[in-house]
Amino acid sequence: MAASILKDHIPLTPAVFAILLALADGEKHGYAIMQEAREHTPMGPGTLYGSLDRLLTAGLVEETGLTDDERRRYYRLTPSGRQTLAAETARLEQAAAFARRKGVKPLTGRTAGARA
Amino acid sequence: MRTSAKLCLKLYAIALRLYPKSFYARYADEMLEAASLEIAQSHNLPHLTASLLWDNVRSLPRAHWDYAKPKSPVLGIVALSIYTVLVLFQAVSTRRTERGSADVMPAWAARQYSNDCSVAARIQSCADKLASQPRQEITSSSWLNGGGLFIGLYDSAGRAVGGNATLNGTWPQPPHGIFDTIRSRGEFRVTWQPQPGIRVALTGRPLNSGGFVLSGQSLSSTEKYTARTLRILFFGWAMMLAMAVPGTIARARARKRRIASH
Repeated sequence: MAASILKDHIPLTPAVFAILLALADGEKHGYAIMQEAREHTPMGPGTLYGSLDRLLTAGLVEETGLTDDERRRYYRLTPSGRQTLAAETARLEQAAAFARRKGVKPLTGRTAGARA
Repeated sequence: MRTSAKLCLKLYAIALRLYPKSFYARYADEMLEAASLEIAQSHNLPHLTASLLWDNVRSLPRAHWDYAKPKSPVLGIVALSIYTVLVLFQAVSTRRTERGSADVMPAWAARQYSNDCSVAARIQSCADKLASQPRQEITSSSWLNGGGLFIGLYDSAGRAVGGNATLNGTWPQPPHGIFDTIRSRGEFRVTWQPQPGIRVALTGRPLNSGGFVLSGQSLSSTEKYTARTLRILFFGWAMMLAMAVPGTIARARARKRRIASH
């Protein structure tokens, strides 16, 4: 992927990062993506499908073509989506390392997680 | 499913109608399915209903922005061009209308004096009558901004005979070419700038005796009003451009990506 295309997408919004991350280990349908994404960020169907639509348009996610029925489509990462996710993860790691060097300690327990 | 759950789902289905048609056609079933699963597992239905609706409220503007027309930047450019032409037309028309309105009083006065003073014997009495009026100075700010009217009588050679105002202490003497034009056209309206900063809407008419009457009014207030109107128009146009150009560029880029991804 060209660096300029990566630059268009990064930094990712928390919702988009959570969606890409949910798809990192394989294809999922919308509701499963939403449930996993909620581990990191608040997300309802409107946010999920709005973001998914933009990710499909940007070519970072694609439909698998498989469907249980009309109400359940499956989505997966494209190679560009996977690279974008890797690039964003690296960016977040760099930011986290920088924060640790400045003496910022991560919170532990439930306060660290986002509420669904 | 409980009645309250059915009601919640019905409400959500209605709310989904607020999305753009294409978005609705593509995702409504999936969103409804997700909401229905949420509702089935919920222990706090009012809270879930509120959060589902709030989620819609947050995501609706972006969906409408993404699906908004015009899809093609060409349409945006055409719309901007039409708007620009309309603004230009409005600017030209404002200028013409305002300039035209400044001719009304001088033209009326010139007509009056050409009727009253056309008999040769009356020219001097007209000039005397004008001279008896309090004389105004055209360069004074009271005349320039006060809407005063200047009347001047001229002989057949275009020399000033009398008037009700002076220009730097002497009778105003416009270029002689004006009198030739009045002679050939009958009535002549022109903008006369006797010196920098002084612009006068001038109307001239011939007298039967062979002389001329000129009447003028300062364009100062008219031009200030026109300039203010043009500034407002230009500001509106610039604001429109500032809002529309980034949107058109973003839409062009989004369209390019959309085409590339299909």
